[in-house]
Amino acid sequence: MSSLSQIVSLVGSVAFLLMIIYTVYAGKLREAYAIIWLFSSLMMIVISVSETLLNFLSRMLGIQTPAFALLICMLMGILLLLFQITIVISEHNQKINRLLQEVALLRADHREGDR
Amino acid sequence: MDYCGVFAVVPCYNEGRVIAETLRSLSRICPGIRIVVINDGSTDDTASRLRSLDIDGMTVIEMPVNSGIGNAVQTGLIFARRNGADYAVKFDGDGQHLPEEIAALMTPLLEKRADLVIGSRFLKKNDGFRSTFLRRVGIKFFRFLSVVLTGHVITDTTSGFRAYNRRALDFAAKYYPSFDYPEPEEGIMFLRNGLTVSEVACKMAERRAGKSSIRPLRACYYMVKVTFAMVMERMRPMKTGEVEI
Repeated sequence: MSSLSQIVSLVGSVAFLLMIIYTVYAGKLREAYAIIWLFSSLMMIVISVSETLLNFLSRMLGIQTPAFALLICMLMGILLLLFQITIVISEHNQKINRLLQEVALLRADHREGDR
Repeated sequence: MDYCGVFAVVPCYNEGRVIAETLRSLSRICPGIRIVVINDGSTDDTASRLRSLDIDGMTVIEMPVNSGIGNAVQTGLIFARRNGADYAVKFDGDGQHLPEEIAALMTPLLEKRADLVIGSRFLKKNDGFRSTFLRRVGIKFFRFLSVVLTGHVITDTTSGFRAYNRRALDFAAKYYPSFDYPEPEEGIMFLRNGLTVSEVACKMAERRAGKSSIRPLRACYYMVKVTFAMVMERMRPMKTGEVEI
């Protein structure tokens, strides 16, 4: 991978890391959910910087171009992150449904009380 | 000590085996204390045990779903605040906290020396249960972090045995680190926002029922997450919002 693309990748990864930290600072992202994103961006930084690691990865994956190996790794990482988010959403759905039940029942209780 | 105007906020999750005994002993040793039990979506028989308890001045709040101890505790604090509490004491439902220690815990509040008081197992050597080795290592780390972030020494950052005065109650009812382990973050948050935090040496009993919710693998995640949260909390500006509670 050329040093230019390494620099671009590094700058992009660091910018991403700073964006994550800022979003948590501003209260828009919970620390618990940020951890996995912080870890991912740190991995991106490490891979951007370490040509040895990238070459090793591309050999392991059987890919000729290291830059392509980077792309594949990132795609796999994104896939896993999306999967994790979907799991969290499922959990939230269950909790929301339960809450909806409680609200509806409270409303019914209230109306019964008014009569 | 007169416990009138003092609310005990007791969060519990699957403490069916010991909750009845814990609450009876609390109400017996601290007569007149208002007990607010928050059942955080327990899946065992905690709910039915609470229903069959007949203790004066006890309110049971049932969270519709499990939402974590931070949320459950905040719910209890909001309830106390709305019902005119002068002071609130956070008291675990698993029997680790001792009712006999509440009077000592509240002394700095009554003497108007502090807003939040933390019951510390490590302030002076005592014969009470002081937790496992691994947990103590974690606590030492958070103690170091607290000093670095706030210049203030908190010897027992993860202690859930805490007492609040009205000012602290107002703040905690509006801003509480929700989710899982809120204690270390709570200390930083209070100090960052100008509240006085003090510690009192307290004894605690060994956990009698339920598993400690920290397993080794989760412990790593927890260390990273709480460290990050504590740093963030220190960096954030002081909270000035008008939040309706």
